[in-house]
Amino acid sequence: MRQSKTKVVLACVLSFALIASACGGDSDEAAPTDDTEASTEEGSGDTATVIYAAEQEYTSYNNGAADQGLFANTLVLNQLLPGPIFYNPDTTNFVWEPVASSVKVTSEDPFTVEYVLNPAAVWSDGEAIDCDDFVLAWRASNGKDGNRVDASGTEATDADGNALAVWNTASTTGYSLIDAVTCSDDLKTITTSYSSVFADWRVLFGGLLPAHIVERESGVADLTAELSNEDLYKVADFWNTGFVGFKPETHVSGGPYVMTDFTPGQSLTLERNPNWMGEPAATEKIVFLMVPDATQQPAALQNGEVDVITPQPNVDLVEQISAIPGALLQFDSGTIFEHFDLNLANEHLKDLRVRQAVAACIDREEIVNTMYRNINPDAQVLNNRIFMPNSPFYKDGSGKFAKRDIALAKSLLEEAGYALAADGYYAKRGKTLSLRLGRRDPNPRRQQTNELVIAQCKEAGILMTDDPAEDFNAARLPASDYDIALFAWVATVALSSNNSIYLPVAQGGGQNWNNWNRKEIVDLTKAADSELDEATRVGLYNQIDQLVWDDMVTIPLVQWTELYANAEAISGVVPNSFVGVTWNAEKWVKTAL
Amino acid sequence: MGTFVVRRLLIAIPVLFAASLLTFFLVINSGDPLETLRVRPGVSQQVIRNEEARLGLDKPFVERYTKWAGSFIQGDMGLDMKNRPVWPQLWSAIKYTLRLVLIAEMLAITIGLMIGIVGGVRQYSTFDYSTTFVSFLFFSLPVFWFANLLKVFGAIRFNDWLEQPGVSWAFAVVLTAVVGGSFYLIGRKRERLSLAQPGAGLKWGGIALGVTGLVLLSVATYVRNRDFGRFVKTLGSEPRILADTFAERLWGYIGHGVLPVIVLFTISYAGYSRYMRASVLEQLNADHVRMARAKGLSETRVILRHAFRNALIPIATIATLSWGGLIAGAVITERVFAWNGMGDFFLDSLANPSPDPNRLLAFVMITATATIMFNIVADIIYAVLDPRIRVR
Repeated sequence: MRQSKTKVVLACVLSFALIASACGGDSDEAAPTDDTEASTEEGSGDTATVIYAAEQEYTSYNNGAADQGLFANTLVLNQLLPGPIFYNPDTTNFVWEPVASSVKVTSEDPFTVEYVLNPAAVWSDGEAIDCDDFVLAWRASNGKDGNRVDASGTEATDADGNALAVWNTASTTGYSLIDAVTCSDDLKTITTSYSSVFADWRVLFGGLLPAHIVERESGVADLTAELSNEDLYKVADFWNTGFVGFKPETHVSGGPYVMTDFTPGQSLTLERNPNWMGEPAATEKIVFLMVPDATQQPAALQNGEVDVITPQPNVDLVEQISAIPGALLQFDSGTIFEHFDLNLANEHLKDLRVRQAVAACIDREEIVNTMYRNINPDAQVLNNRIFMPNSPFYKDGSGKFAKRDIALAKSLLEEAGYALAADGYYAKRGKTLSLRLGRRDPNPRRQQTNELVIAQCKEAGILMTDDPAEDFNAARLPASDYDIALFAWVATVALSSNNSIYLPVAQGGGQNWNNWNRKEIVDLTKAADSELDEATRVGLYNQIDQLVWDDMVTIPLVQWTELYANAEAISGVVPNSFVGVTWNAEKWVKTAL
Repeated sequence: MGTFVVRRLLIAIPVLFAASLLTFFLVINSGDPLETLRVRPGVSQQVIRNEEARLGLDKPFVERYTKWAGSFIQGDMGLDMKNRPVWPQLWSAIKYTLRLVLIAEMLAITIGLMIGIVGGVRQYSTFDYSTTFVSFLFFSLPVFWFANLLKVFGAIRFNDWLEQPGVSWAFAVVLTAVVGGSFYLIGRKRERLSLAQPGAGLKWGGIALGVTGLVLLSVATYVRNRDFGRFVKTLGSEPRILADTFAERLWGYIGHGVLPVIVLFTISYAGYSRYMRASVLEQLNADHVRMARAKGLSETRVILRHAFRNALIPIATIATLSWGGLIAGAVITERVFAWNGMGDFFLDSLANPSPDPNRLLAFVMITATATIMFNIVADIIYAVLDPRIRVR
């Protein structure tokens, strides 16, 4: 026994020595990397692939179809579909040189735009990018083909008796004003003539679809020719449904990348387009990896499984990403902005002074401070509805309503004939100044905003109540069933798309749910949309914004913060709120660290 | 038997009908599929009306349901709201889910049963107490929290360690103490030593220390000489770029599958081990086991032949029933690990951006059918295994 004990002690000492040598861990001798078999897959070592975490799935090449338009598609198509003009994140634009060599307005009356394409511009299958593609875009979106008719000339219907549109196009804005698209110069010069001046003409013909594919698949030899109804429907049928999903033979590319693989639910792969006529993309492959749960994206970024993420920000997520060593975080105040809409049909709000009192009692600074600055320290109160602060055209028209002013609110109410009642709220002719704050439910951010506003306006003697509804945006907004509504609009580069919000309903104000009627808006939008000088046009739109301030119909609050994060190995990621982070993916570079 | 199956299948028809009717009613009354289109600038009322007609939003409930049921009975699951056919998506989801849950469930059954048997035979032993403790611990783990912890420690930190291997002194000391200590205790027990002889059993402790040291050393050497390329993944169900050799492919699949399998295994292992333990205990106290012992059979034979076989009967039912539920996928696990299976399919269909009737109905019908089928199978298995039961 005694003997064996000594042996045991020896064994213990020996084994400790063994363990100790195993532990001598953090030495700086580099691990030999002669066998690399395990790292050939993805992962941090591979600089030829940049992986973007996509929250929503790509569905279709044809973003212009009413049933297929998605931002998730835009993110992919930015790198695939050619167009003559491209927009920068600050709303300025430029001619996309690899596709077009010149774009200019050749005549103002009749309004004519001429596009001259790069003679070398081709799709990834070698076919030329030319006038046919422009004609297809115009035909599909000009709305002139209307509904389908059968052989006898009566309107065709589906099994349920509904009329069938020829083209399932989401929007005909702009294209409907084009009378003709003429091809010349071996199909490389395109002349578009409009029935009236369309100042936003630059936004048209972006994201062209390949017309030669449509011709081949529909069996119609030339879609620029006059088409019989039968042929027209064949072409339209393919346009309506043929671009859903991914098929290598139909989904050809005219951009820096070409789609090579799409596994639904898993990933989508873009590879360098060998036929791209511009500077070759910096990185060989861009992979869109499906990560539907945004809260899981930071861990994947940290583990090197994804390189670029753009989740909807919240405090937890920002903290998580900030804690990742080597992750770069960028904030952008995007194009989506929150605002209050005041319904002029309301018995109190029909008085301008009451609306101004509401604007004066809301402390927008406090709302931004408590709810937005904890994520993005640079978040600012928004004071324009048409131009965002990152645009060179932004103009603050808030005047004396820039800051909260309780005294001003009270004096305005008293001027309007209201008197402070015993319950602490103003009332007029026995009616308490009581307003419902409508919002969509569930939406924690808007709920919290409303709670703040209710407390703030209580101090000014205005009684407000939260008015949540699940179908608020879908049903109650369009029906003007609200006192004050909190929701968001998207600022776009197509300024004329603002018109339907501010024009009187009878003059085309389809989204003017506030019952606001200002004749000046009609004249201003008319003038602005036939004005080709950019500076003058911007001035006119800022006048429209000023009119909204003067009548206090809507109160802009703040832009939604967007979050862009990437591994430090990636350079060139630049926020773009209009078309998404992938707008310059051809310039992303991954370096080995 | 034949009449039994036919009768059960006939009963399934009204069940499926009721399930589909209820689901359809709930789905079409929640959310507005055209919400994004409605607020998009420049979209005319005509376009919105066309879309309403395409999706059948303008039709009454009965008409929409009959239309769906008509095509479903003919084997057509239709298109989803984004115009993509439903069946290929569902089929791919089923395959991914099966791959995940089959592995996890196999492991859970095997290990759960083994631990359950030992726990039952050695009731109230240290082993029994510790496995019971672990089972209840696993039972009570919140999946979401557990999965996220696994991502941090099992993937991110573990991969960091693989890149720069090394063991801290504290860890080595604790590991050695734990391993050595437990071998010491086991050794003492083996040699049936009393507390009066504290020195004895050191031999076992020494062996354990030696083994720990060797293992640590060889692991560290191996890890240091190999590039794993951040092997454990937190997301996705398969490697995006398939390698050429079988070994590399397998490696990729393991890297993607290991964490979700661990999570699912942990959840269902606990149940199986508890059921098995209870079932074995019941058998050990039964008359036929007492009889077998009285005949003088060896203990191994008594347990394996007489107790274990009979103890499996209730487990067969439980396992079969749970297979039906597994087709529905593991919603939380699949979501957290971006595993494109049935659970993920279901969540996507719920908010796509609004509930998608064709997708959801297809999901409900497939999972309901699976549940019903496995119920029938469970009843048949029960009858086959237990001669006292007859199906009629």
